[in-house]
Amino acid sequence: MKNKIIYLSFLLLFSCNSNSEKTIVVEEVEDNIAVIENNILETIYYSIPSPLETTILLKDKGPKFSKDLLFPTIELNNISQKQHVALLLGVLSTDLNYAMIYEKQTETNQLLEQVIDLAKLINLSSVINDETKNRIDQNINNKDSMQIIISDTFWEIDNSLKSNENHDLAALLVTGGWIQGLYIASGLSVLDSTNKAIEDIIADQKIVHENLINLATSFEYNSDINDYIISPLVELEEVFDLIEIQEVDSDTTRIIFKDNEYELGNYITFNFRDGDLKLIHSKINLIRENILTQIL
Amino acid sequence: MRYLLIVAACMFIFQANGQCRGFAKTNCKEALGGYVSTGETNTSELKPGEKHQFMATFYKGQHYRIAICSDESLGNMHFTIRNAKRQLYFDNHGEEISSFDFKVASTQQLIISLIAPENNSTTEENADESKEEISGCVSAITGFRL
Repeated sequence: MKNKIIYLSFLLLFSCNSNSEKTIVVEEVEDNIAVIENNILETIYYSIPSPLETTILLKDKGPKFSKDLLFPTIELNNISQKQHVALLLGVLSTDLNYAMIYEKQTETNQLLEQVIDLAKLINLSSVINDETKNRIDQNINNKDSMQIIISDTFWEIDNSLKSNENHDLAALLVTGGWIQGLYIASGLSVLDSTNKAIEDIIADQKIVHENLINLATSFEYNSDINDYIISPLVELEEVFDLIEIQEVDSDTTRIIFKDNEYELGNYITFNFRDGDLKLIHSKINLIRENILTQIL
Repeated sequence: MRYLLIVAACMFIFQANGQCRGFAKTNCKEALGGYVSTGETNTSELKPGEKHQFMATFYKGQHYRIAICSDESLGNMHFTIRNAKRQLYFDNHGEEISSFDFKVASTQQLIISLIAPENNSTTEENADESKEEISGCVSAITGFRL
């Protein structure tokens, strides 16, 4: 009977073809098929949104580009350890996406060159190289094409690291990207404390942080990475725990069909207390400083 | 010791999935249409009746498409999307519907499942044999609208 109800629900779902708002409540069903738990880590990778996605979302919320939030330019030749390279590659990848989304050509070009140089240090020059730069140069006035090229390139980097069993490096790439993304978001929020939408993006990181820690703590790193990056990242949990989640609509199975698109429930809000944002910014700034002073 | 076991398990898993790596880019990317890949491509090798499941995070304010594809030998995949409480949002019931466009009311994690259909061989013996022989790559790819 339950199956019939679900089936009817989805007949309704797929027969909807108007712009009017319709609410379809789906029957709750237990998932009877045994869950294959053998791909936990692979799964965690995908629970952490890409820097491109996060920076696009940030720009949509209206803050201006702030060059001061970019990671300082450093001498790349002095970096020899692959784990350090991967971490920095993640950081600069986020900056590259940030500059590109805001159409800052000078910064985009500089960052792209740095990313290519770093990629060479961990044998990724077959994935990102001068040819990539040429393709981007040819599309410098076409933001959408640039985004697709960069998105594809980072897809290839991720695939290449995993195919070569460099899972620790892939995890650090994601970690570095997330650290710099949160630094930019919280920095923008400190600059414009009235922008509630950016606050929400930062609060959303409460979910992402949990996944990141699961991923980052699954591999063995050198003591510098452990002491100055992983440990303080784990400690960030105390700060995210301070953010309360309030359910505005507890009906998690609600689907609304509106403007030819499905919206999956439910509505929740995050309650920031005074000072929470500044605390997050301060903590993530400290980790970022560690990259500069202890890792590089 | 615990660490070694985790790493050993991970290496095995990644190697098992390694032969299908690249499958999504070759076979699934077009299904994203105008959506840009988030880079979140989840690929596995399945036999009939097996299930591949993963969780992904979706931001409020973004418009998404999840598209799936699989080796033809496996037949139409059963494709479902559930919330973190495992409540069902979407089910293609094994039909040919291979993508779902949506947004989320608030940022949340969704569980995406791909189940290879059981083999339809007529005899139990044939079914067992086929199950041994048939396996194929399955992928789910996520994109967002620019």
